[in-house]
Amino acid sequence: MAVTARLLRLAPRALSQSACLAYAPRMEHRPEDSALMLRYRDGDVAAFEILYGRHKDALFRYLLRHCRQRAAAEDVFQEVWGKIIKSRDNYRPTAKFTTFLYHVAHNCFIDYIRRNKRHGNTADIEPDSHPDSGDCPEMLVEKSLARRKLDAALRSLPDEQRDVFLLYEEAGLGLDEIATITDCKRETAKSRLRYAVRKLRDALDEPPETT
Amino acid sequence: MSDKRMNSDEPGDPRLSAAYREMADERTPEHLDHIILNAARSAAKPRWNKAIAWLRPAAWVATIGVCLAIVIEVSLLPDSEPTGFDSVPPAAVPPATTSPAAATRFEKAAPQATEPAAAQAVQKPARGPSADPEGRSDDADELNRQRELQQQEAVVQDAAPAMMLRSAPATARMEEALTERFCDETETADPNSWLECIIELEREGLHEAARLERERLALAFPPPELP
Repeated sequence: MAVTARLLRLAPRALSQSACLAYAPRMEHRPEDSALMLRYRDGDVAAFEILYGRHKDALFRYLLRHCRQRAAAEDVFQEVWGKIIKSRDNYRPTAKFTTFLYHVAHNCFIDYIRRNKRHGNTADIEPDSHPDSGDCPEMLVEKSLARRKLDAALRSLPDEQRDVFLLYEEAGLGLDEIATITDCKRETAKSRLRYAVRKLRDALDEPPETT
Repeated sequence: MSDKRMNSDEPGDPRLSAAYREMADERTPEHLDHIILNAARSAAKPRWNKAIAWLRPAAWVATIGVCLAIVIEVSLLPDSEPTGFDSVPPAAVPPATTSPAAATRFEKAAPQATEPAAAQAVQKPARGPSADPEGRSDDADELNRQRELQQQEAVVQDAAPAMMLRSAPATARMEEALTERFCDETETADPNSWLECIIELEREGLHEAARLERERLALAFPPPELP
């Protein structure tokens, strides 16, 4: 409980430092995504680089949480962007680009599951970031414990609930868009998200196991 | 998080979101960035580049071919190519303003047109009475002579445009004669041999040609200035 409380106190600072990039696409540049894709369709590679830079990390994390293996996530990641590149001629800005992107990613992940029956194998995802030099050893331990708990809770979620939660957190999509991507009703998506949030919150609030 | 999401009934949890953000800090590997951006660049190249890839070498080949053709054509042209009306043979000059009947007459009269037809017309009546051994001068003969004169005048009038056209080649020939070289290159290479050639021309009575060659000799080998 103390670890969670400490983590929640640190959250605002973490948001101000690292999560700004993750939230940036949601706040300001969202309307321009379609325009960038249209520019890329007309041959402007720089527009695609901007678009890719905005969405690459969130999409990679979405696939990494789903696939649970880095190599598989990288394969699916390449497949998704390859399809985006191929479909540029037929792209029509009828919906948000993020919806389009994660719809493709969702379908690619389902194809990956069908190709690989051994999807149930789990592997720990090693964090990429290095600890800040200013963090004291206690905080590092707390962060590591919280990460493990949340990661374990995410892995324990059913695929549908995890999918909805990741689309909500990583892609910043609303329930309507999540329902479109996951091909279900809005209420179903809302119910799945509620269950996922409840389970994850319970997992975070659990006291650490004492051995 | 967007305003739409915050105002809606979505069951999100800010605490959980913050905790997830703290945990989810993975970045895309750089080698994936390179692969995908390279694929995007290669896909963005215009496709018609492949379709008309032959256009540039074909344009070069066509340009070189045209240049070669022009060079060969120019090199094959004779050096003393006559210009102007001389390039057209006199017999091929059509009577520009005459009728088809007159054209037929022109073809018959053209060889004689160089000589004054009026002179012939004058000679014939003069020859007529003397050719008559019996000295008869009746009205029928007189009418025949007048008819012949009229026909010859008509021939002269029809041939006049052709004569005018043929006078132009004559002028061109005169101009050509002024620029024509009477001594060949081996003779003009040396002033002494050139002078011998000029003397030979004068012996043959070609004084105008000798004069021209003398002027050319003076231009080519100017006399030394006296101190």
